[in-house]
Amino acid sequence: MNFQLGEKDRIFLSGYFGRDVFSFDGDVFDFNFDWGNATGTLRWNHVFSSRLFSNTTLTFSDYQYNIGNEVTGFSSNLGSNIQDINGKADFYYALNNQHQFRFGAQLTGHAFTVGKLRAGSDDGLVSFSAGKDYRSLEWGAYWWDDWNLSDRFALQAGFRWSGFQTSGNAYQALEPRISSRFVLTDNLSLKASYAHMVQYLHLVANAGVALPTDVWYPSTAEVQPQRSDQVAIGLAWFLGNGWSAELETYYKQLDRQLEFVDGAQIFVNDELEKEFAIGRGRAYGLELGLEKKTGKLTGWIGYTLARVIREDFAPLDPSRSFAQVGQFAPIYDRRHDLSVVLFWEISKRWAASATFVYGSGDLRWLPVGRLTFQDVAGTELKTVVPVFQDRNNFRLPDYHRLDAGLIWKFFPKWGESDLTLSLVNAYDRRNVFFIYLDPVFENEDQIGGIQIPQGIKAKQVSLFPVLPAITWNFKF
Amino acid sequence: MITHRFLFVFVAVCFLAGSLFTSCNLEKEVDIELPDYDNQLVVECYLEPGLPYRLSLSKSAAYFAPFPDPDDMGGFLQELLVQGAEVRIRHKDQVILLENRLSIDLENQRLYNYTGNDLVPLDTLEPFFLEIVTPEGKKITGQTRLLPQVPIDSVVVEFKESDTLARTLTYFGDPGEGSNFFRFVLRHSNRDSIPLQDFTLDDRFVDKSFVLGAAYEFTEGDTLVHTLYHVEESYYRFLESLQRAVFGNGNPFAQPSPLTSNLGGDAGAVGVFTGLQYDRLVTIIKRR
Repeated sequence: MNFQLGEKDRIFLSGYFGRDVFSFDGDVFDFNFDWGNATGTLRWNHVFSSRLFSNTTLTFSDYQYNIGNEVTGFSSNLGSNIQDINGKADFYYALNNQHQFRFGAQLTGHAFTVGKLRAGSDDGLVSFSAGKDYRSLEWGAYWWDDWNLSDRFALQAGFRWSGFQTSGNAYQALEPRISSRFVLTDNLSLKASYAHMVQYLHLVANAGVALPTDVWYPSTAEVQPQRSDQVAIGLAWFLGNGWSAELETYYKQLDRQLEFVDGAQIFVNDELEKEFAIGRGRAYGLELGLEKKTGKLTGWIGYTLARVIREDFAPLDPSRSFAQVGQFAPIYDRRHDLSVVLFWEISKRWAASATFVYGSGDLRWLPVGRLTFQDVAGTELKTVVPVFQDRNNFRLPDYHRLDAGLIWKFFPKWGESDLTLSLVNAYDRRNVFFIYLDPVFENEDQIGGIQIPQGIKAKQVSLFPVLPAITWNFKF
Repeated sequence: MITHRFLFVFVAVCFLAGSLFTSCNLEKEVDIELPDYDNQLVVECYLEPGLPYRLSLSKSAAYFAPFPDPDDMGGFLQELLVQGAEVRIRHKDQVILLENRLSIDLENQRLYNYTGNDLVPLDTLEPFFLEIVTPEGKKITGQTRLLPQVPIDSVVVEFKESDTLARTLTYFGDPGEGSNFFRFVLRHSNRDSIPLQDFTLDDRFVDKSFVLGAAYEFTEGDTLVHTLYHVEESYYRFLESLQRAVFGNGNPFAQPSPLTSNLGGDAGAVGVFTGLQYDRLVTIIKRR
């Protein structure tokens, strides 16, 4: 909602609530998985003068992630959630047509629950819980100077001074950044940039082939903030008739990256930090973009060729192991990423849209071998002990999807309205949500009472088939 | 005349009908191509005082390779076991040669393809050294020693008030003197029972004594076997990695783990060579 309070003040109010539920009933295990986000934003736009205006924003968000499962009379409920309350003020000041400034500050309160567990037997005889709560404060202030030094050369420079506080530990950092644009010809520009960035919240991902499990974790005394330095250089080319193209290449050095140690227990763990290993990495890539902004057919094509590498990891807890030697790729190392977005204005009343996305599959850590382990007398003989070697050794199938929409616009007396008919995943691509490995016991083959499987099958589970939807948009 | 409204409804119905024809089965079997894997030799050798020296030497397989047919016992063993290696264990001045012959422990359902004629002595002072020369001429080495037995002080049986179910509490003391590592196994007395509890623990967070509890799940007359192994750190690490490898393979809340073997040599073998000292108590559940 958008309210005009006067000539100099405007208020914007928006809210969102979304909840996804996924239920899986498999031969080996079953679970219910629900996740979602609730957000609310209040923004006040104030014009001080023709040269100075501000945006003051208050945001609340609540992300929740919950998995419940039940195995032979024992049920558990696992979850994580992050609540953020954010206040920020951004100012824009135009000294003249050639020189502008942006400055502002923000304060965010984070409340995390990491690895929350409630579990117990259905008869109530066994019951336990685990998980840890963190509260932290993140702040930042910035200054950004945008200066057209000549007709051909523009320079943007600034810094961000940021800080983070949690459980009695405090960090602060200066994050300088600079970028420039040099006009080579009337329709060709060269761009270059450098940025030093600090990230206080860490995303750590489980590499197993099963359901993807990500954990957000704050910086603490042991887990220091991540740092990165990025340089980029690119060309922007205006081709005429509304067409433009961009080409950019980047290189990023990453410090204090987090990975899980070998065999990390992610939930039911009040000491999650002992499951972390810290190392460094780098990322580089090439981005291509082609855009058409005018005419009946508009849209853009974006392609990224990228690589991410990690190395030199050591566990925070020396009693834990990180056996990987040399370089490896994190699970989200996506080699190719392509997006095509098209919008076709067929007539005054009709329009059509299409979005195609393609990405290389994520990486997962699968066992390459298996062995039979007898173990000592009086214990269980294990017929399938997986042998894991290099991390993230298997790339999931590529992800691709086409979403198509048909828009019918109509014009009632009270405003504007349209009905959008859309097909999500229009050609019914079964993209991988997760894979599970299922030993096959077709016969009662036994040796000494021990059942021997015939083989192991891999099964893929997808999230959704083709999904039709109708949306009604209106403006009054 | 075709109106815009009619056209929109017509297209919407077509969309909906088309999507209904697609299958809703979101699960399917897939072929997975894994990186090349060279089979590894797998060694299991537990030195138990009073029992013969014995060792199993087998080989691993590619993860998705078909399993050997258990109906063809000869073929099954041939595919699993590695024959023709030279296996020696050295202890003090004695060199024990383990002959390549099959021995089966029927009581415990275990088999060994290398067996010695001597019995393992109760010697907690001097180390034991393993040396295997594979049929291809590669070496596997290992070193271990027997640790002093740590006795189970007592097993206490507790019944729930106004209920027929009981639990056990197993008490034992920490021997002190540096870090100590243990394995605890609790099972019913019948031979083919699967352990009710089987876990490793160390004394990092324990001052003097341990108490290990079981759930209220036993009834009067149950016979339970409590076994406490005092193990070397390398064996403890191996067991931890093995449990984590099994647990992490498909569990969304656990990271996979390579095996932390305590073997050396150039054969790239995995497995364990360790002394085995334990205390075992048998408890019959009864109300006092």
